[in-house]
Amino acid sequence: MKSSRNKIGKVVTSFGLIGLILLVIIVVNSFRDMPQQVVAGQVDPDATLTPVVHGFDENSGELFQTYDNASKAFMSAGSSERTLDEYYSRRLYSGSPPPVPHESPEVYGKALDCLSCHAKGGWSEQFKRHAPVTPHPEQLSCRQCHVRKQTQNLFTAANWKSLPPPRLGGAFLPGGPPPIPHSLQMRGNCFTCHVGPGAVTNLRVEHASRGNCRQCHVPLTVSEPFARN
Amino acid sequence: MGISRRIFIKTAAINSAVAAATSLMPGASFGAWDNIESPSGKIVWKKTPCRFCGTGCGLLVGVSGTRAVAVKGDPNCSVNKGLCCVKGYHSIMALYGKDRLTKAKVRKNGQMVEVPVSEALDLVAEKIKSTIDKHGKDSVAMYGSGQWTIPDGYAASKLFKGCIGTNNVEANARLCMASAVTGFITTFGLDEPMGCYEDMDHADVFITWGNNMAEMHPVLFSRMLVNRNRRKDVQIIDFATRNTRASQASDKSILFKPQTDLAVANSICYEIIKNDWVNWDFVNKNTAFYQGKTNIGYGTEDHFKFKDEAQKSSFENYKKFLEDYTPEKVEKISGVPAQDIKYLAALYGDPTKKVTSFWCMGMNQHTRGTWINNLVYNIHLLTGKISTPGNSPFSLTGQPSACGTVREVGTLTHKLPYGVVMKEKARRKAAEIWNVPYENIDPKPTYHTVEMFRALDRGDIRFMWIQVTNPMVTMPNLNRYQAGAEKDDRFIVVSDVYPTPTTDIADVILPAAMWIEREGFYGNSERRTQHFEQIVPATGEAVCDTWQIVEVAKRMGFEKQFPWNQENYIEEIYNEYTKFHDNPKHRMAPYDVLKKRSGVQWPFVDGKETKWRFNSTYDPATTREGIDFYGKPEGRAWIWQRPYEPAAESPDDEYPFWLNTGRVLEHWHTGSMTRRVSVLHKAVPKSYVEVNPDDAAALGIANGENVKISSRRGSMVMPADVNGRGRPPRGMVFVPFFDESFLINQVTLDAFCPISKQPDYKKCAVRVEKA
Repeated sequence: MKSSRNKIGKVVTSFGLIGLILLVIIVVNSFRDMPQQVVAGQVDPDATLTPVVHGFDENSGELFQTYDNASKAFMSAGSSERTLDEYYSRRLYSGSPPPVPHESPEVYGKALDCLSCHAKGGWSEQFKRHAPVTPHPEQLSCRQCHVRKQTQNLFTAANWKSLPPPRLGGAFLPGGPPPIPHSLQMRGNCFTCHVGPGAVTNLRVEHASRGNCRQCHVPLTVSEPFARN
Repeated sequence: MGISRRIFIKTAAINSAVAAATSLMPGASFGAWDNIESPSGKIVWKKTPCRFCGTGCGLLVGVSGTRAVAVKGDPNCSVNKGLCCVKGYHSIMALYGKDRLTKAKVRKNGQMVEVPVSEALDLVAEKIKSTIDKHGKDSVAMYGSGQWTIPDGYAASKLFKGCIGTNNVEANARLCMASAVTGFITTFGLDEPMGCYEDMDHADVFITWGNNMAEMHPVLFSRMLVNRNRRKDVQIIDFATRNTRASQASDKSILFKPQTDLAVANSICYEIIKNDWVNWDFVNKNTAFYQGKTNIGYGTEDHFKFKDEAQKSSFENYKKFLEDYTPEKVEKISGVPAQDIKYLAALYGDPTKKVTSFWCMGMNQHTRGTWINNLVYNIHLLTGKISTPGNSPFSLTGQPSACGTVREVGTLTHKLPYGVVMKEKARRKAAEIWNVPYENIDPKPTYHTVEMFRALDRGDIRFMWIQVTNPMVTMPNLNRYQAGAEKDDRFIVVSDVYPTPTTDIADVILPAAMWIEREGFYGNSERRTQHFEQIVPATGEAVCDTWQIVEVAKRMGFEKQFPWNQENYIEEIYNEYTKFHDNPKHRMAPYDVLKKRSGVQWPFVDGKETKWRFNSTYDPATTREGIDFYGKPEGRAWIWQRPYEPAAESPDDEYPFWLNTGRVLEHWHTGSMTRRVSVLHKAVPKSYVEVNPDDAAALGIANGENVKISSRRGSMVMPADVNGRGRPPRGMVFVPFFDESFLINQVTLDAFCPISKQPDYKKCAVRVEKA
């Protein structure tokens, strides 16, 4: 009995092993690009790329998952003490890319890895505060837009004006959910700026555990009321 | 570029002051801007191409009342798909600098005096006429720009070439794109890239030739990084003379000694042939072999003349010629390990990989600029990796309309909107469309840019009208051209938006309406024509550059050729201009289509854009299946034998360093616009000289200390940048040219490519000392 069971065991194991090897080969092959002669005039339709965008409209599944995975401690953590005034004092208009407010030294031969802190956030011992999270981690060349100030002086003054930043709240009815006052382009991931300890104090929502923001908060795209043509 | 402790404390103090004020007045908002008084608070978004580089990003400018108040990337524009760089996002602030030129000024008894614009225009017209009467028609000149809109350049060409009858029309694109043009013309017979930005979504390998795309074409660089991130098997190779942000983000950085890209490109071809990676079907059907003159000089002397002669060659000859360029031999010239040359050749040669090459000023500002363009095309032609999605030798542009206005309208001395002045057919066509006598158009080109400024110095040119450019910062060997322009009997008219070193030498300053303060068109690197409407009113008494030319033309008696009124002259001019390109090889989208869309690529035939030229699947102008390089006889592109020849001036015992010049991400060209944008100025407030840390240690120079850079032409004292964003190799220093307080072009050399006449700003010999 013992030896026959051993035999069956060996047969089962070896079949299993062969199966596993085959599976690995199939999986690996399916991931490998098939060598392919360059043919004039053929476009691979899958190759036309648009960046993965992390916003409700484009990728809400990913956002819900982020919510599911976020701990209660994170949702209700104390704030970074970043205020809205500090937030807007770094911008030239509501929605402009803010400069980098801290040292970001060049390290020879190494690309700067901003996302190591700003992709997910977390406590920074160096700055004694929580790192704000970027709503567009799909963009990798951060300093293309976020530059470091070297001086506070100007070359010449400018007669620059913009609209006042959107007011907080702004619900249409008392107690109603406020609409989204800003463009969602590159800022479609509500979670990054409105939840968590890295968020600006005044912008944090009190009901972070409700994940489906856009159920109640809708973009404010036009200011005119509906009118029949 | 480290922040000093003092500035840091200051910044911290400002921040804490803001915080303190906030706690005193809860609810008050301290934005970085003054709030606009807008009754509605509404924003209307209008499309426009960006004002700055040749990428041609689509912007949406937010307008409230009469002011531009915000910017978004235009998601409908296939160039940037909604992303901008820091310059684009803050571009509109450049409209509102406090020192905008709002009034015309005229020099009276040595003083610049404000006058009505019409009086200044009277003077300009009168001065052109009197100068012609006294010194002949070739004593007056127009110097324009790759930032000219299409109607600006078209009106200038029509006035000077058609009406006045002088070929003294040049543009600053001569300083940035001329070698790209002659590269295209000599290899393919037609200017501008065959591919488009979509190549980036298909290519497996990117090789950037002397091109810091991370800073100079940041939006395109980001698209490349996204591609690599998505597809994982994509490689970016940075082939350059200095370590930059682009090198750091690349998979491999290969450094070569200045000028030796010529040898390395030939060596790559040697390896491709040796390993039989040649695509023979392609080469046999689509190419022909040629050779030209050698030892062609550097043009540093006045009246320099050169004409290349193409001689038919053969594959056998070419193969023999390449024997001088084995990787082992080229390693000795270039400093690039033979292994790395073989690696590059293997990437180009691998039939399973689609390869895109990018370049810009590194290859164009080169005393053998035409040659190095030819040589990179050779690589793509030998392997057949061209004109198909992802296989693309791609020449990038630096200015928003270097392609649209200078190359397509032809605002260079030898060019007409269609063809060259030397050809009777081209002159007849221009005379007919322009409604001028055929004899008016001079069949002889006059001066290219460097020679034009030499002529101004010599006195052959007495009157020059400069629009949308700042040559008193950008001309190489600047001391000579400054002195020339300031001579007593020279009359200089400058149309610009801010005071610059060029308006400083002007006898008349015309205030120009900037960018979206008027209607216009740009043309970007990928043959895309982009329309923008007037979005905000012009500042002060500023007048659109096109209209300035129209007004002067009318005053000179050319009402018949300039009959337009201010209501729709931009549309009328565009419609007249596109008659020149009404053929399937270059047909441009009609006005109405351009008004609606975020840019349209030409050839635009039967309502369709052409993404890949010379490829019968996409290009309706082809006359045979597959690839047809229809710009050359038999549809064959030319593979040129071009040798390695040294730079005009190389380091020696007296001047042991290379001087390399260029740009930084935050500033665009001479900074006359970007320095008025607070974010950009605060990020890079002044220029500096990058020094290799080992050289700095050897010379006893610490970061931030003053360094004296001297050449045979001039010297400059400026702060050192050690371990900053770029690192030149030992024996090279790099200086950004945007800062008018440090005119590094007083140090550079006015040597140029004898074929393209484009100066080399990347190579001259200097001495570097602690100041």
